[in-house]
Amino acid sequence: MVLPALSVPADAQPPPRPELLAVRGVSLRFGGLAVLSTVDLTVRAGEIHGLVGPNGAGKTSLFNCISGLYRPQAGSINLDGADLLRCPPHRLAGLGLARTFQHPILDQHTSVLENVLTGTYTCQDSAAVGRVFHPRSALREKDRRRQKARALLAYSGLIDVEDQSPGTLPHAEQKRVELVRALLAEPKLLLLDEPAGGLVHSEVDELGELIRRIRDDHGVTVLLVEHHMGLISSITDHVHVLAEGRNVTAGTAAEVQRHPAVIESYLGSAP
Amino acid sequence: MNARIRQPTVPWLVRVAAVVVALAVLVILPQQSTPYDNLQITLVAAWAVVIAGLNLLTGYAGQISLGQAAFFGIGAYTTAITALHGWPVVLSFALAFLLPATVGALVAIPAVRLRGHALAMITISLPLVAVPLAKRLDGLTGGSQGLTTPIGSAPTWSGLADDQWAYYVVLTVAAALLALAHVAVRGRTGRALSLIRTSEVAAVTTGIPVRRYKMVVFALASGYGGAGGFLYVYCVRFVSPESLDFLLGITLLCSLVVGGLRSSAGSVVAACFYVYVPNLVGDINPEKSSLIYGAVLLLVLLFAPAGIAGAARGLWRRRKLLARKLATSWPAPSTPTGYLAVAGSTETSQEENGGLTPTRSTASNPSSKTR
Ligand SMILES: Nc1ncnc2c1ncn2[C@@H]1O[C@H](COP(=O)(O)OP(=O)(O)OP(=O)(O)O)[C@@H](O)[C@H]1O
Ligand SMILES: [Mg+2]
Repeated sequence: MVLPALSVPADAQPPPRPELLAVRGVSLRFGGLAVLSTVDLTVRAGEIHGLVGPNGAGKTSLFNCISGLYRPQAGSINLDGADLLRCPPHRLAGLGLARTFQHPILDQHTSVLENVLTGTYTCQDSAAVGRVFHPRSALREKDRRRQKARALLAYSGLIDVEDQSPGTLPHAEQKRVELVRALLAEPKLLLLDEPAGGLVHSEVDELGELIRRIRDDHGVTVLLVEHHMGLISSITDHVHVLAEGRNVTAGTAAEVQRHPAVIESYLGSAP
Repeated sequence: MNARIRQPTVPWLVRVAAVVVALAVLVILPQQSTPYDNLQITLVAAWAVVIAGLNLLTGYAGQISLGQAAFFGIGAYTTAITALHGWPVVLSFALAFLLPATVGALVAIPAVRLRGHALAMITISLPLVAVPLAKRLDGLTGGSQGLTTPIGSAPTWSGLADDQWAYYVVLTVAAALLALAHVAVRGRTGRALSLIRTSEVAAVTTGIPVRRYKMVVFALASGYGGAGGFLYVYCVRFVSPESLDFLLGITLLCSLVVGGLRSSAGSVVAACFYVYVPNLVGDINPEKSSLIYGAVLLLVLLFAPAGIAGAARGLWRRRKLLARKLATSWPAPSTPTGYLAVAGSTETSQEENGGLTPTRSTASNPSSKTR
């Protein structure tokens, strides 16, 4: 295996939790542009894992590789033992992967509730065959899903706007709608791309609290890209730093913030 | 705008009552009216099926197609030719549905691999191929003359005139097909299509097999086009290369937008628009017919961007408010609710790479966030 450019501090202790996501040696190029170069990333089950790095570091590109939207030229990506690079992108949701986008993608022509219900798409396969033969149980299943969606909307403080068009909501709430849609897919791993982007201070705190509760109450592992270091420090167990498509360092939030390369790229370049 | 969406727009009882009354009127009507009027209503039903197919594709799945006329034409020719060869009507119908559906699926295979308006581009070429083909194969299709076919005569036991018989048959079949289309886009499938329309990237990460959906919807829309062609020939008993024309495809798309996207009632309104408006316009001034037609189209798009069905829904939703306004003062102009605005091509363009737009807000600059 190729070693990362700047070595990651080796873990002396045996791994406390099993690996859920293993990204190994992933390289992605667009023509002559190397967007990712032998990136390694390990996310353990039950963690909240931060992915940080300056603009253009390749964080979203890495997310796109994990969620099957980009095909890296080299490397492997495993989720709970399944080789993601061998799966067609639409299968990944069924394997337990869900994500949100840097800019919320919601259908403005339907309600918030209908939008989040889309997230249950993969949970319904079991009922599909039975529906013809057991219409009543299919109906109950449908009710159950709707209830679950409404419960999650209530959980994230969106129940009052469930009938509204997402376009009428403030940015912070739109981001939460996307979060609920992703959660309804019952993922093992949730990828959040800049969930705090464009949020004001108090909203960031609320969001951090929500992400933590999601992990604790639903047992979902979270990998989040975030520029907001306050949020990263307060909720992550582990942070991975990426710059110019390469691994820089990894560790706890406090550890990586002491890393010279991080100090340089974050503080050294500050105007 | 505080638009509430899930609230049933028109109460259940009102809907049922409206359907029952409409059915009663439709059943009695052909006994009272002229063969010409019966034919017009029958044509509305046939075109409503064609447009409902287009609505599945363009309204729900957000794929613009300019080639619906080609599938209509394939269905119409299939019906005419098989009827000439003495096929049973049911088999003619089955083939008039299945043949265009198969052609649609084949066309969709390359198209669904490309995002955006690849499908529209490919569908433009369909009539360009189909029209000369229909003219060339004159042994089969009757060439530019078209084809007259023996179909849709009333059986003696029915005691009906031909126009009345065709009316009942076409309206029944059309109602069944419209109901099927209406049910098909509810619930899970409808939500999957909405997300595909919004963003294929978001859809695929939600686990929706986007290509398969697009292919099935395109095949289904084409099948509906063909079924509409069958119904058309069933009452008109004639088909010519004009039925395949490119302009027809564009007119159908315009009618759909005028009637209202993503609405079953909208497809029927669109068919009325398609059948009646050119007649009305021709009555006013045949010389300027296309000008008046275009003006009507423009007016609807300007003042009811969600189409006529969408505007009616909006009016119903705000009927109390409107009633109060009417009672107190001069009625305010009715602006349609914003979220119902016609989905143009703008909404899908933004997020095709999952948030990789290079422009960023300064607020999330990392250097400003580190303490
Ligand atoms: N589809 C693509 N085609 C060409 N270049 C791309 C593509 N996607 C990403 N890139 C390039 O890859 C680099 C990394 O982009 P990416 O969006 O992954 O960065 P990021 O870490 O998410 O940045 P930000 O913090 O601004 O969101 C950028 O230089 C970008 O221009
Ligand atoms: Mg990004």
